Amino acid sequence: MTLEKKKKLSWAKKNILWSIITVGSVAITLFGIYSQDVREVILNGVILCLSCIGIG
Amino acid sequence: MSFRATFRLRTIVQILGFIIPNSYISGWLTKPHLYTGSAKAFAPPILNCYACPSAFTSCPIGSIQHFMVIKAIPYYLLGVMIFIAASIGRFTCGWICPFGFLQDLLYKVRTPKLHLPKFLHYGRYLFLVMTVFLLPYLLSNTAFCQICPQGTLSAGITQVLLNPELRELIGALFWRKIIILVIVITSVIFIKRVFCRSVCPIGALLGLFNRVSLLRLAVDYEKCTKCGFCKKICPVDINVYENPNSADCVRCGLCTSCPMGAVKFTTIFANEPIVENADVTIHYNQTTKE
Repeated sequence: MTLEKKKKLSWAKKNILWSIITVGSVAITLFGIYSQDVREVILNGVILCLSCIGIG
Repeated sequence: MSFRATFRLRTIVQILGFIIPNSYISGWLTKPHLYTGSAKAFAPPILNCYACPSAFTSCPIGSIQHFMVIKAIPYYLLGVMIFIAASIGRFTCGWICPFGFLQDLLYKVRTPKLHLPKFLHYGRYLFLVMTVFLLPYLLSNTAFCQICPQGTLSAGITQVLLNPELRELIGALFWRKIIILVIVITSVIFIKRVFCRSVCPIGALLGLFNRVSLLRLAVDYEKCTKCGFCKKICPVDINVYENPNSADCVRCGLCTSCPMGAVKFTTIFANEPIVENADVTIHYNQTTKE
């Protein structure tokens, strides 16, 4: 295989990997939004976070 | 863009990155309280404590820990962070993170400077796995928040100063956090962004995607003279010509002001004659000679 072909293959691999990660992350985000009460959990965490202040 | 122009633009964005997520001024006024509106459900990938009275947004690390404490998988938070990492890598560390900005400022203090030993770079992965996922899941406490210097600085000290009743609750944990904060602040005066490189779990998670992120750095090895300018100005001490898309790179863009014009921002789609790796360049030259 020539160097030019190797470079093209590496470029294609990176692009495919990037596409999979991007689509996957969007899917994970949407799944999280629809299956969990994200706002409730995050806000509960904020209210209860005494560890942040250092008195928990 | 010249070094000075890039530096000025980045400083302005860093100041805005500090002000905008901390613009809930009424949290400081009258009786101190926390903002709990809709914006608090958003957790941008920056280290900015959500228990700070002026915080408008949440901390992704704190929120992930709370999901682990209740034995739930933080799909939303991980999804958003991975999407941002796949798009711009650690760009938010270099341009927006308030704690990164603080470290940049502290490093300007004129003292003898030191280099961070290589093995400490892996510390951030240990902190990510242990204190963000494993310990909160097993022990049901927010382990990273208990050592986080950003939390001590923006939430611990301010809340204790603003709320007299909290002063009575101060115990060993508070003083331990103060000691950690003092150690971190002292360290960053001597070593470039030592917290980002060896402790920060956000940097660890985002950095995993630097090699495959949409926004990336590329080096033109035909122009590069390996003068070391990029390493000298790099806020995380990277030899850019050796590894332009290192997991340490915070995408600050200062190295793109290379006097030879050898370093530039590009995207993963760009298939140009710029070779990204020095070894490949050597191989390429050898092949063409043959």
